Amino acid sequence: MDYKENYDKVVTDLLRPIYITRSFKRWFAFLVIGLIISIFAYSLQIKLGLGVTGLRDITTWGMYIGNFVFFVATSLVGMLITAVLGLLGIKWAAPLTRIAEIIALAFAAVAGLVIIIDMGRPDRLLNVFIYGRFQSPILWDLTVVITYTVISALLLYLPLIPDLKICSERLEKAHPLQRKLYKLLSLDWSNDPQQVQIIQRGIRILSILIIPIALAIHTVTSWLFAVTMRPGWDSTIFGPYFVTGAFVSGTAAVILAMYFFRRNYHLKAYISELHFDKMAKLLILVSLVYLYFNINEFLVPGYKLKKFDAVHLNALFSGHYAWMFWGVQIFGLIIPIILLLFRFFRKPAASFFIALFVICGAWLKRYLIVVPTMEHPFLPAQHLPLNFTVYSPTLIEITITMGTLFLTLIIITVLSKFLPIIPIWEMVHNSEHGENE
Amino acid sequence: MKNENSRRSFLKNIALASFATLALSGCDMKALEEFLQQNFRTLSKKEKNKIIKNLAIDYKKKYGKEFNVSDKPALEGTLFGYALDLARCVGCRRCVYACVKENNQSREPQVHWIDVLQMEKEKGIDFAHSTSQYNPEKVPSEGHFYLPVACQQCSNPQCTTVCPVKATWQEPDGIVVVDYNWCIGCRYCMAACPYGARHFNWGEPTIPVEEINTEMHYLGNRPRMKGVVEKCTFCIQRVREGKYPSCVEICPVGARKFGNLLDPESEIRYILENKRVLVLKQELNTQPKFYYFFGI
Repeated sequence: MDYKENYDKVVTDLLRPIYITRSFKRWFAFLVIGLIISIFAYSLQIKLGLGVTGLRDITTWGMYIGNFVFFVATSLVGMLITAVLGLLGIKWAAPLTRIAEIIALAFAAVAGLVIIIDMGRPDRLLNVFIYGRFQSPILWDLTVVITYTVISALLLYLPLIPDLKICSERLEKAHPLQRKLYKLLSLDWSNDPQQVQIIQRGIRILSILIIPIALAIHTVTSWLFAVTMRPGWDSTIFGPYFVTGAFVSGTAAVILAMYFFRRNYHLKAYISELHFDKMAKLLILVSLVYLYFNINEFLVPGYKLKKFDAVHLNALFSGHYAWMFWGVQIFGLIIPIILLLFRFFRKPAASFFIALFVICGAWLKRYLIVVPTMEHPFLPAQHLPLNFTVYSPTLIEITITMGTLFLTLIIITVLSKFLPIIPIWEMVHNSEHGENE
Repeated sequence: MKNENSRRSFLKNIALASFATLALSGCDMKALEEFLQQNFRTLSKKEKNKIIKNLAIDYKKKYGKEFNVSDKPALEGTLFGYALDLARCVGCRRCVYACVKENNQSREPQVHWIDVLQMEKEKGIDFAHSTSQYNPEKVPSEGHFYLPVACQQCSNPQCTTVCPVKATWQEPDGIVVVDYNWCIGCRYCMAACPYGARHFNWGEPTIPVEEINTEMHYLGNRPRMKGVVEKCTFCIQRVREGKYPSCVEICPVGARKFGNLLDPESEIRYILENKRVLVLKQELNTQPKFYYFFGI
């Protein structure tokens, strides 16, 4: 589409979704009710202690930590789409940057909360900030999660400034307060060449900055596990293994969001089949890399079967977790890769369903990284009471975990409702720029 | 310099904001004081005195008994070590329950600092074929031997390395302790400990009033709160007074030996020098000060 010639149409099209519909209200109410229920569940956990979860002395980390890793992982896609594809000058990815950044910001921000949920004494959280020991990987994690959240927010905000100006001018039917807010946030943007230069330089600097930070955030998250000596975590490839896994779940999340916005916001002309085709191909690429790391991670210790590794791997390959392990590998990784090789499955609806499988697999994969290793302690004492060794999450725990998802969806919903989900100014400006060249 | 200032003022603002929240939530001064209490390691003698005095009052209110809470520091020239005679241990678990009683462990939910593993003589020390859930009429049962595991008091502890707030550390006499008022309950130490020696208070701990031990140490057996980690401290409240840990005292077969590793005349030194000694998971380089040996 030629954005310059159709400027008015583009603006009208992209601003059209910014009004509150009935289905939006219903969806939002559903999320808020869900969140309230899980806040209630969390209040029970505060009152009664972490004993309301399925965690006990042997499996001390469970669903919460797995969920935390998943959240951090999914947030990494912002860096992949905006920074990597952006800096490489890949044009088709430009309309997807805002979706990716919103996902990145929401997941990274909530990841911080997820880890607080797991704390036995959240009232002492400030100790970590004021008296933190930098020798502990938890501190590294905290630092990079916060940094990444801030940079993601900036990377969402900078390209948004001109769009906010457009919003404040063109959204005549919006609430005056809402328009005022747009104007305020647009920082008196006037499309001045100097402003354009500043903003472009800013975006470029942030795009470069976010790459090492995004790599760090997930590498450090993997080190949280890899620095211990537990079989299953004691691995040197955990950093890249986690990072590539993160791209898989993030890419899948973007495909899900694309499908949703394309349908509900009537953006078929902007998020076209081409975008699904390209994103699906990207998903193949990152899944293949992830598969490669999976083979490394399991084949090599599986070949040696050292004493304690053997206990762990037996549980995964043929024991208690075999169904989940093989399910994740086959339905969450191998079959999606094979299916996406065919053009038919790279169409919007098909890739939506495949992405759904991939993202569920990605979540379960994090669960598999955390729980089975915890269940096989360094001293594998057999025949302990069942609730000591075999972990199964309780209803309260699941409700609280769901709550974190609801909160993320609320953030994504609000941001994508009140902001143009496709960057207007950037698209128009880039196509102008392209002509000048 | 300017940065330093702004960071300080930022921290101050955070602190003020949290006071305000606390004040609004109707907490009294005492709760506030407890909230603001510093890490035990950094407290002055005066502050420690005040805190342990307040603790004794609190416990009296709660349990209706006189308590003696100590904050006695490590004795000069001591490094505690422990040795356990695998040939003698009969697996009677008296140590487990003596420990529970001495150290005010929670009865419900139940916390045990000592875990006695039953092993097969044919297999030797093989954790994969061990169980802590043995229940014969009479111990020792035929063809088995017993290996009690508690905190190994490593010289190179993994648990203190990973702690994000230094709520757990190694004292000069080698005992790894926890400041229960400082622990944030992240349980990273439990994930890092290769011996499963750390235990978490999954709920509010309950101790029957008539069984509570009133001789306490701040870093040891004082009643814990929910959401914090606890562990064996070699009975810090006893050993710093020159007594044996209660598991050593209760052991009916004399399998448990304890002493000062720096004292060449001590029994523990005799064992290390003259017996075949082993430590658990030597390959992990945690360097435990808890040794196992075969007396015969």
